[in-house]
Amino acid sequence: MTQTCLSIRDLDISYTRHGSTHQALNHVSLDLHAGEMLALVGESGSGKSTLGRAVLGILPPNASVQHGSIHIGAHNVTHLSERAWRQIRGKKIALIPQDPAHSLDPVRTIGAQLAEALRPHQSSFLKRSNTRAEAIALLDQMGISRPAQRLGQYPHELSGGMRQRVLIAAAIAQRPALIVADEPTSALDVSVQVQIMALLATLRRELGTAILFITHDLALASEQTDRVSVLNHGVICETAPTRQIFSAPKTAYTQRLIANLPVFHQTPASVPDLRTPTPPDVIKVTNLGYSYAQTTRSGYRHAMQNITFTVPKGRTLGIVGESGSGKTTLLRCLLGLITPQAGTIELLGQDPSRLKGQALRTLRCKVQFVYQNPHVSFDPRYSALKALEEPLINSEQHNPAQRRKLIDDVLQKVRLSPTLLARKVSALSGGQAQRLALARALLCQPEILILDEVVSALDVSIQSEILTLLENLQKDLGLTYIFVSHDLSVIKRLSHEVLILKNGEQIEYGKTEQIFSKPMTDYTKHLIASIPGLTSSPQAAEHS
Amino acid sequence: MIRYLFTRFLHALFVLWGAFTLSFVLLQVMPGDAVLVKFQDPELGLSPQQIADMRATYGADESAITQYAHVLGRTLHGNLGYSIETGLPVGQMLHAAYPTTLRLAIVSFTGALAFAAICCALAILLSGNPVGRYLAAAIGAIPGITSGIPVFWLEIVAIQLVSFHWKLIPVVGLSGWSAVLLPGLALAIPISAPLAQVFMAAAHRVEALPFIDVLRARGVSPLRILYAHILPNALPPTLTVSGLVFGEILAGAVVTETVFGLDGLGQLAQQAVASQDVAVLQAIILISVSGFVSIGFASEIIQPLLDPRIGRSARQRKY
Repeated sequence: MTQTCLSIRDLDISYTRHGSTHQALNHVSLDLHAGEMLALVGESGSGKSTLGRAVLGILPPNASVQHGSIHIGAHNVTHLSERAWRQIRGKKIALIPQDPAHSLDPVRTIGAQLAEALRPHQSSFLKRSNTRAEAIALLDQMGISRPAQRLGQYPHELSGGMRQRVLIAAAIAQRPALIVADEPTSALDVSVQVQIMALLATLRRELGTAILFITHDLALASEQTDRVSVLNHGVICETAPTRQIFSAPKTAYTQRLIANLPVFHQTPASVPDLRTPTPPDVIKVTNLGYSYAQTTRSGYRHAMQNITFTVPKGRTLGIVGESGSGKTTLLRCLLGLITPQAGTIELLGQDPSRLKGQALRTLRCKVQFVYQNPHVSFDPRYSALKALEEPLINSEQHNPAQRRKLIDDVLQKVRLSPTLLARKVSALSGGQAQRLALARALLCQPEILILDEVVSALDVSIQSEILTLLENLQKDLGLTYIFVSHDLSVIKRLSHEVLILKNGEQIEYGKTEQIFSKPMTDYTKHLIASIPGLTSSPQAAEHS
Repeated sequence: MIRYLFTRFLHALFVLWGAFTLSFVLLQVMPGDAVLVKFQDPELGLSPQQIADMRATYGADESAITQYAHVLGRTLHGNLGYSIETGLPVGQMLHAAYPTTLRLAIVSFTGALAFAAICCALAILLSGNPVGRYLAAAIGAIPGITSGIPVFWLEIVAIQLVSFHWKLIPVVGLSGWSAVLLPGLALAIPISAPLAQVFMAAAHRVEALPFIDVLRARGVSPLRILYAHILPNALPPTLTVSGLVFGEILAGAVVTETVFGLDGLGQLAQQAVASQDVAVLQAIILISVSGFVSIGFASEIIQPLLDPRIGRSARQRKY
């Protein structure tokens, strides 16, 4: 008989800010049984993080539970005092946080932090040999090599995946029956994501821990979870066994979420028409290499070497690489921010490193860059109008009426309502801000767009809209894209050709269909296997 | 590490030499010299010939380069020269004044640090509580107020209350540490303001970081989160500011010394400026600069101990 670990009944939570209240959760009910893994899926603003925080009792001060109850095991924790909570947290419930880079205290050793997780109510730590032994055992259990040595290291000395393992070790230190995992892999590379998911599965199997798995990624939720709850604007619109959610989604919202997943997107990047001759190459990169001078021991670190590719006009090259693969260096070379030490770059027939002055400015206008996080690339105090107007004013080629016309034109191209122009950039949603970033890039009438992880920070439905927009813009304006992403499913949808980078080397380059159907290297096979949700996609179902 | 310390030491020597040279040039540019100031008084009735002889005795008539070489040479031999005003060796005058200043600096700095830490701890602990939040906001405003209080006024009030009204500490007849207790504590209040401001701002920044929530979710008590996590993380920026503050009091606190009648470096500097006593001024400048240099050096050694991400080992890695 399975016992209930977490039981939420009719939970209402609202935030009060400047006198106005915002209902974050509305009559939410959930049950989680021992050893079960439930995925709580929702887009940003759906209230999924609020629910996770409420279960741990760490809601911000301006949030209040107005109605309903939360039970952890036999304890009613709905209105527990801070002191009583401390007896539950760590022992009965634990958290695996979202961002391993900022979730460990940077100035204390791994050992000190694990010791605190093992015995949060006692001082004096690793000196006790049994605490030390337990900490080593925990790290060993997480598959961390040389665990005894790690205890003396600081968080910044570990990789992202390793830090997340340490955080998981800290979470299970006191063997809680319930773990809240709040987007535990969203800050990690795909191959590391697979390892962390496998680790969670092991925990569940070996310790019988129930896991509330909060994610925005429906594809990821399709793996290893028993049930999925879909949260939309604070309301749970559907809870069902995972298989059933994907095979027979009941609500329109769930159906739309599934349809928007790039993994399940049926038509891959429009296959170029064979009857028309291949258009001329607008980007030519030959044997490109770049090394950073090492500050010590007079050596060079190769950031990338021997990169060679071409992109024909109006096509998309997808570049895939995990962190440290050299893709940032490659982009900086393409933008002419750094001069490569080896090889050549030709953009629209010109080498950016040989150009100076006006010629370089003209080329920069033709090659535009769109960055991952639109909110960071704009001055937040600017209005949307000012953000668009600024480059036009600087170019001093247009009178106000012409400027207005140009702006109206690009807004129409990116399908952004002109009524938003008066808003501050910081007040725009992620999707709106990314459209604004695209609009700004299009203002100079570029021929090449370099898109760096432009959809990574967006919800799936918005992501899907932006990808469709990019496809349409390419068709209408004949734009050439270099599209960098860590997400292979997005790459597959948008790119005609794919370049895979690893440790600064180009390990695979070819037509998209070819790479996905017949990957040549083990690394590519591994990357493709790491795409979450592939196993439950309709295509996979057809094959089996 | 040894090589690193050695290069830092060479840097420090260079800074000292630079300060020495710069102060020499600036003092040369000042019109007149100490001999003229002292002996040109008509009441002394000295003839121009006699004054010229005096200047020759003190070496004031030689070219600037020769004087510079001479002064640098004797300073390197540990001889700081003689005060023109008193005729005493400068080393002896410093030896008399420095202990008072050092004691005053230590008392006021320790007091300021303690005051800043208490303000910061209270502000963080209270801000978690719905009612305490208002109190925390009030505490947050304290540094702004104390930094605006004139030091001399605060010290006069302190003497009035502590010495005359409550009769806790006598005003005269004290020596050693007891003499600097009241002035030190009075001086601590205004100088704690920048420390407390930086400390609180840093602590609030740390408090908003995700790892604090992770610690709460792990069942760690607020008090432990404060002393084991927030304060250690907020300490490095505070240390940088406190180095500057400490260096400033080491160079002498003229106002405090005047109000309490202490004979510290501040008094010495003030008299030396009034009488253009170049040798004394140069010695004081040298002492202050070496104070700053050694504090900077010390904080650079302490910083990596407080924050493992900074320091040499970190620079070699990619962060």
